[in-house]
Amino acid sequence: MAVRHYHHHYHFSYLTSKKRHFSSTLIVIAVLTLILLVLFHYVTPQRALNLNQLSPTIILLASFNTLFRLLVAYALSLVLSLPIALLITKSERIERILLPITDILQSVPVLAFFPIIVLVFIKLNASEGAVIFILFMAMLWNLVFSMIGGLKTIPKDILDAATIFKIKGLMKLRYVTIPAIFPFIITGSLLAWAQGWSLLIVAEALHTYIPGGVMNNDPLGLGSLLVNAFYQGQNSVFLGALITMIILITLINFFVWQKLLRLAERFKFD
Amino acid sequence: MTKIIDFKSVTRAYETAKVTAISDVSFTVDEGEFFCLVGPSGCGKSTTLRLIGGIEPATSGTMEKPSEVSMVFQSGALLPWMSVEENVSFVNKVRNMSQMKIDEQTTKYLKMVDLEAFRFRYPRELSGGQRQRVGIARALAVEPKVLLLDEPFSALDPVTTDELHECLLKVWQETKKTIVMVSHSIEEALFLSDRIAVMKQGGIKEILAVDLKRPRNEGAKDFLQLLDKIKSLLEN
Repeated sequence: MAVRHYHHHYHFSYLTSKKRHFSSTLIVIAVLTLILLVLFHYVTPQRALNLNQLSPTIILLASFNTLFRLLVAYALSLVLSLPIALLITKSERIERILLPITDILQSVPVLAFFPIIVLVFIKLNASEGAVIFILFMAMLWNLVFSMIGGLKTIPKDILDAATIFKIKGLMKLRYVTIPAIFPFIITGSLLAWAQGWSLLIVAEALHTYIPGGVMNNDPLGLGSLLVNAFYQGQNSVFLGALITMIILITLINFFVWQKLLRLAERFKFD
Repeated sequence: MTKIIDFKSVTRAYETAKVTAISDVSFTVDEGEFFCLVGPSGCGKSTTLRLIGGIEPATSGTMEKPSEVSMVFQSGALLPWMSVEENVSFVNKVRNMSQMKIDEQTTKYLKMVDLEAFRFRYPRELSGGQRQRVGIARALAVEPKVLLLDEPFSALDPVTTDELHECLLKVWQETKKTIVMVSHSIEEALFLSDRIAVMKQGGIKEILAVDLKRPRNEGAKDFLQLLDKIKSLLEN
């Protein structure tokens, strides 16, 4: 009963939501195209260097590659940030030890100590992994600190209620903790994605990490397209990539974050 | 009468603050009794309740109490992302009760607090009084042996408070549960309970039996006499 009615609130109404139908169709098409293009890309890799062949397909492919990397990095940081935040807030003693460490980790410029790690990835012939790793590190701390903020503001009465009703462990996590910090997860995610986008240019321009690196080392993406087009003076390509990026960010804001922020309102305590 | 709660010289001290929240507190509560703890803020009444609820441990002394207790909180402590129905049913769901039984319990107790019609509303769509009713239904739905209430009506207006007093008495009479309630209002305690423990500075000053017939009249002479007695106990 409970479950059915809960879903009932979110379920499509076939009478009223043409807009929703339209937007969900777009999303499905976009996701399918993303998967296919990325798959094609891995079968026959395209490099960013071939700027002469610039076509909408290349820009589209670059966008999807970039989105794919951001998504993987985000998923990884989301999965990892929750246990980290839970561990840090577990007890005051742990917090006293761990919080300064994470504070230092987040304030050391991400890029300062990366070249070495990134080089390892490249030596292993996993340049994709290198990009995702940079984005992941850039995203992780925003999520961790947002979640810590959320965990610390769960009302005491709510935690006492969980104790009284003997809700512990995973059940507490699922029914109490995660929903309670949901608004903080959303704002943290917003910041994480903003950070991801802003570091994209550096993350995808892998050749800058390699001594004597050439642009051919860069995996195709919006970031590497921007850097390399600019370097080669291909202004139209540069402009095309930039506009695509702005459109993408706006679309994601509109279709994802706006909706999630509105949803998060339901999860806020008075 | 069988004793359901038995505290013997219970002390609760905090490590960080150098104060003892309660010291050397002894009392018993009988099964089915409506027991009230009254006193000014900081007298230790909430701590006593939290010890019964197992939220905090005692520093010393012995406590006999059932483990099946539940609590109604001052803030309601409802989960804003769950509907009224889900708030009442989710504890049983977590405890793997069968869906049929869960629905049965939920409906039964929502009816008891007159909130059947508000099943699919969310806490933010309810008034303060309705939220406390949900809190009561949620606490009852787990079928506790003892129902604890921590100043549940102190944030409500007088009319709503009166309505909820009636509601609580009805629940008590129908379920025959043992109730331990914390209140800073002596009138409230006198109106509702069988016995009142008057607390001050971390200790129980006196436990008074309220031998008045229900429904009680707050203007009656014997009511006012007891009121005066408790007031003078708290003043000295």
